[in-house]
Amino acid sequence: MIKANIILKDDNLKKVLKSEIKLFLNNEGQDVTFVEEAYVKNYDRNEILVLFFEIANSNDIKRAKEIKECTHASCIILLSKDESLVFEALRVNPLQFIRLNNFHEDFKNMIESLLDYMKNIDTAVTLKSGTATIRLNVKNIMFIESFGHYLIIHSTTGQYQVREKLSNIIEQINNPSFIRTHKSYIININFAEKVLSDKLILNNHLEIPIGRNFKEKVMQGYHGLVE
Amino acid sequence: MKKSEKIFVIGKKVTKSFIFLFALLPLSFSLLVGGMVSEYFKLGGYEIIIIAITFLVIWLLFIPNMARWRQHWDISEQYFEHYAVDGYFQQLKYILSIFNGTEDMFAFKIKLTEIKSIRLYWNTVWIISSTPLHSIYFGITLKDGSIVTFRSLLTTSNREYIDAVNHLKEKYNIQIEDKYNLLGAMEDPGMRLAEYIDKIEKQEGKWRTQNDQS
Repeated sequence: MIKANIILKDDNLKKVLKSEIKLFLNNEGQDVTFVEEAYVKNYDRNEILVLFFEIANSNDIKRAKEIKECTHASCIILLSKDESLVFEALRVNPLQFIRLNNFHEDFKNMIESLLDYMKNIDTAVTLKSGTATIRLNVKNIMFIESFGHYLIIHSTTGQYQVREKLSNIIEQINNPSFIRTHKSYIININFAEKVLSDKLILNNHLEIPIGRNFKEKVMQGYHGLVE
Repeated sequence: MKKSEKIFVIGKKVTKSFIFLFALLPLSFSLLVGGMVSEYFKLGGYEIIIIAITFLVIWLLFIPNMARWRQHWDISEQYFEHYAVDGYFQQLKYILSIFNGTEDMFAFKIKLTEIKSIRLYWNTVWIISSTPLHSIYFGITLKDGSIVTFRSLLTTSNREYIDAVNHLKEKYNIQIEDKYNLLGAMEDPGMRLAEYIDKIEKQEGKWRTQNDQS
C-alpha cells in the first residue's frame, strides 16, 4: 500500500493528479491512499510514503528538502511550471521531476520510476563531483571501476569520475542488475556478453576481471539473466 | 578512451610550463630557508640536502592547489570534458598525470552526440556585506534523461565562452536554452554580467525574498 501526500497550490491540478495516480497505480495492481499533512508527521515507517510537492522558486526547493528530511518520506516527486528548476532541484534528490507543461509524458515516466522504486529498483543515481552534480540513468551504466578514493562510472553516454567508495555506490544504485565482480569493479550484468573463468567480456568487448571471492555471485547473476 | 584534440578550452588549464614556472616560487623560498637553516645549525655540508627537502615539502604543499585555482572544461571532436579535481591526493595525482599526458582520466567526459540540451542558468550566493555573487552554470540534459550540472563560466573571456556554446549548437545540434539571454549580455561590451543578473533578480523579486528571509 502506498500513501501519498500531495502539496500543490492549484486545487484543480491536485484533483487531476489524484485521479491519474489512482488510475495508473490501480491498473498496475497497486493500492494508493491519499493522506494529509497531519498524518505525514507520524506515519508508520514501514509504509511507502510518497510526497508530491509543487515548486515555483528556490525557496520552495529548500522547503521541499526540509519536508523530505523531517518526514523521512520514502521519496519525493517535484512538480513545476518552471522547468529550469529541474537542475537546482537535484539537491532534493527527487524520484522524478514533473514539468507541468509536459505533464503527460513526465507523469508516465514518474509512474514507471515509482513502480521500479516499489520493487526496490532505483532508476537514477545522483552524485557530486566538485561543483558538478550528476544524475545518471542507472540503466545505461555499463560498469564502475575504482581507483584510490575515486570511481570512474562508464556509461553509454560517457564516463564520470566521482569521489565515492565502491561499496557505497552499489548501495546507492540499489539495482539487482549491478554485481560486484572484483574488489575494484562493479558491472551491470545487462551489458555482459560472455563470462569466462577469470574475466567477463562486455558487449563493447571490454574485459572486466572477476575476483576469486566474487566468482560465484557473478555466475549466479549472469545465469539468472540468461535464463 | 582515446585522447583527442581540443577544439575549445574554457577556463585555465594547468600546463607543464605553468607548473615549472610556479615551481620557481618554492625553489626560491627553499634556497632562502635552506641557507638560513644550515647556517643557523652549522650544517654547511648538508646545505644541498636541506634545500632539496625544503623544496620538496613546499612543492608538495603548494603545487597541487593549482588544480583548484585553475579549472577548465573543453570540447574535443567527440567529447565534452569537465575537470573536477578535489581532494589533496587527487590534485597531486592530477598534476603528476600532466607530465605523462594522462590527465584525461580526471575528467568527466560526455559524448557530444548524447547531449540533448544545455540550459544556461545561475546560482546566487550572498557573501559578507550582503553582496550577491553569481555563478553561471550549465544544466546539461542527455538523451537518456541523465542530468549533469556544473559551474561553466570559468574564464574572463566571454568571447571564447560564447564561441564554444555556439559551436555546440551549430555543429552538434544541441539545443541551447538561454531563457534570460545571458549570452547576449556577455556579448554586449557595455554591460556587466553581474549587473545584468542583479537587475533580473530585482525584477523577479528574488532580492525581496532574500531580505524577507534574513
